[in-house]
Amino acid sequence: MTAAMAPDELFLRYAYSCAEVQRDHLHAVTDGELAKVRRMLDREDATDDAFLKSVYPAAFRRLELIAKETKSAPLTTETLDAYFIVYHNAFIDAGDGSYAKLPRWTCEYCKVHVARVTEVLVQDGHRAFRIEPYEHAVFRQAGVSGDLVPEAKAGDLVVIHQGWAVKTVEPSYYERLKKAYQATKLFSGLTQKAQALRS
Amino acid sequence: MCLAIPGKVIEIDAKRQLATVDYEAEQREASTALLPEVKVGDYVLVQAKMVVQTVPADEARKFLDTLREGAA
Repeated sequence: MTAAMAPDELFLRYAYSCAEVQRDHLHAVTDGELAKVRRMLDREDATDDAFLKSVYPAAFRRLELIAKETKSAPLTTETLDAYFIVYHNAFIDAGDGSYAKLPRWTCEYCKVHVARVTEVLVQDGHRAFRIEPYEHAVFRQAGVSGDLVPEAKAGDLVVIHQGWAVKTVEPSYYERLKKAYQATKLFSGLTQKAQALRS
Repeated sequence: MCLAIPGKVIEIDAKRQLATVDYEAEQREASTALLPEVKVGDYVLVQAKMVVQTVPADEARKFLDTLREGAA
């Protein structure tokens, strides 16, 4: 059984690639800051919470909102999973923060999905997963990097964010997360805002 | 570190499953193992040296034009 991941490590896995978008699309992150985040992700440097809050102010604001709504702490495994797996796409569709000014294809690329691994490829020391949608997910990625989830195998469900597989997920946990957090006022508010934007 | 912007495929080495992706300021190689059908002229996103998806050309060009205008 895989050892439980610390919340800061889970946050870095989910959020690292967002910093690449912030650097390349919004010029809100420098090469040096991105490299520092990557060193934390690779566990070469200790996590620096104050620094991460400066790089990811929107993510921490949203985590605080979710924690307040659900009477939990922002940096727990479940709050992080709830944010990225359940709320993240709703924030995007609602045009929250920078998503209001990012192009449509970037917003779609930034969404988090659950996918099934259909094939594991290993090339030049890197793992990659060919993936197919789980449930009704619609995404353009043919595959993702599997470097963060070496234990995943064909048939497993993984959470994907941009070009990364972030973690494996059990269907029962995923269903519980959806049931619990899609029922919140915060989620329904975001969904209503997204509908208003579309109309 | 990856670039989170679309690059244009300018060369394919089918035998080695490698694409040369042009980002204007630089060119990088990426594996096409996940998307062997990618072809020269396609705009792609690369993660960990692997092509993970294509981006429709009109969307990619519009985005890159905006980036260029912002940098000017």
